[in-house]
Amino acid sequence: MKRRFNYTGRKRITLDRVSINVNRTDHMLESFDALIKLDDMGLPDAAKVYIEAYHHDERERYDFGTVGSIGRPPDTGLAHLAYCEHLRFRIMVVDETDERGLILAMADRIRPSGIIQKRSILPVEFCDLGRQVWKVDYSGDEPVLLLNERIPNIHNLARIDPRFHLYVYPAVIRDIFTHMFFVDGIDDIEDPAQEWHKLWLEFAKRFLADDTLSQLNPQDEGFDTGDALNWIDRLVEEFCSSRSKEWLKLLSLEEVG
Amino acid sequence: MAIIRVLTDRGTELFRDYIMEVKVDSKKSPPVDKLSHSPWSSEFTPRIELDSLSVTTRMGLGKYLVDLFEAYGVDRKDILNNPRMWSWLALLWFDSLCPVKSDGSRKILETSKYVCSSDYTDYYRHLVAASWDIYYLHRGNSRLFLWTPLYIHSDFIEQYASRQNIITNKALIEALNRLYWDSKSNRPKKGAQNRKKAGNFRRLLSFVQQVELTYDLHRMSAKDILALLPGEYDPWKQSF
Repeated sequence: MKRRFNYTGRKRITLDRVSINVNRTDHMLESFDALIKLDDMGLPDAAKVYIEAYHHDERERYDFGTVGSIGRPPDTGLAHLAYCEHLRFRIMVVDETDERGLILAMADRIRPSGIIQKRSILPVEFCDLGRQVWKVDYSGDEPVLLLNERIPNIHNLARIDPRFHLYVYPAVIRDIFTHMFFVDGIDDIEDPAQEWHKLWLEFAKRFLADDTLSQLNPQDEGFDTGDALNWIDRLVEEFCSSRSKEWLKLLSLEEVG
Repeated sequence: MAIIRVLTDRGTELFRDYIMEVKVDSKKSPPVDKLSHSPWSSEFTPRIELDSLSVTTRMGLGKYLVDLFEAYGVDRKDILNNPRMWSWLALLWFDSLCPVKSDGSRKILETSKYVCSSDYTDYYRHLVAASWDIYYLHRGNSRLFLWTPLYIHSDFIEQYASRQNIITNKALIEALNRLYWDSKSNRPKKGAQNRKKAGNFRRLLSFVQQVELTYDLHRMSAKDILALLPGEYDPWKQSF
């Protein structure tokens, strides 16, 4: 399914224009503040600006005024939501002179943090996965790596443990590209409609700089699924080859063990 | 009468092991005798008494639970994120969620139908938690998802309920009901789930996922959403 067709010229609000900070009382999340810079984007002053906080099946909308007069509403309370620590935010600029509410600009999956966020192509979330160590969730606008919070010290393992890096991430990469080619069905290898396809293909080019990717356009008559699988295999191999530090640490850990 | 409890780590593992075992030995009984004891479960606060389960549909179960928790003043946020309480309830009512057939065996579904997960892409597969949650969100309009017997997980739930932006949209769920619910037979219209039929509910899902990037669906009424739909949905509108 192609979700990213943009027939109406919807603009992307980049993360350097957004800052969402949460306020806590006794470590409990209470409310949030937002700084939004929409100048120079060519948006009409009268267009409405909304921020939505969401996770799971909870969603709360906050009215931040208009493009010409952005202002924090009196109540940005979050304490009534069950999943405060996992919340993501979405900013929407809506033309309400259009009776259907045309979305003029949007930014999604924003995490609360500092002034400028560096966006990872693979957001990580922690939850109870039963007896699964990890899985990739494709239900949103981009793949999200879910890690099992029941595993002790999983936050640190995922960040620094060479075994985790070499056992899990190659499989994750294989999973993501397999999904891209064979589930989503990528439409254009050079300029894919889905934003996350584009980001991950750019990531792949860091490891496989040859022109084999350009020959993998599923729209071409000569597209061969075997070639795509081979390309994914080579990509994973090159990714692993680039992890020389982790590999050496892994070997030393195994020797000690 | 039972008092609601919460499975512990050990209790959850015990339940999960049972689900694996009953797939091999379909006549094996669930470990309900461990339900009310430490170290398998712990107390839930506040103390809530449960009647014996008398409902036969998931909608009935959802309504029973919503009314129950509201009567005890329990906040939605305190139970939404409490998968082990939902797992405990599934173990308590296991005979209703996975009934014994005449030959003494059970037809067991996958683990997530009984052992609740905090992973939101699996949460909606839980037969108890999803019944409560969908009824809480949509009350009468939850019928399209919850009209089935307690042990059925319909494709309406599988396709729509795990998508946050969709299941939280009350007007959209109302529009879905207007399209696909047959009030005469009190069940979804014939063909609504037929993938070959024009305007089936999966095609609507694809359509919604495209237009939600263009229009602010959350400010629309059900009528507005229905007006957006292309011609292939006209027969579904007319037969309402």
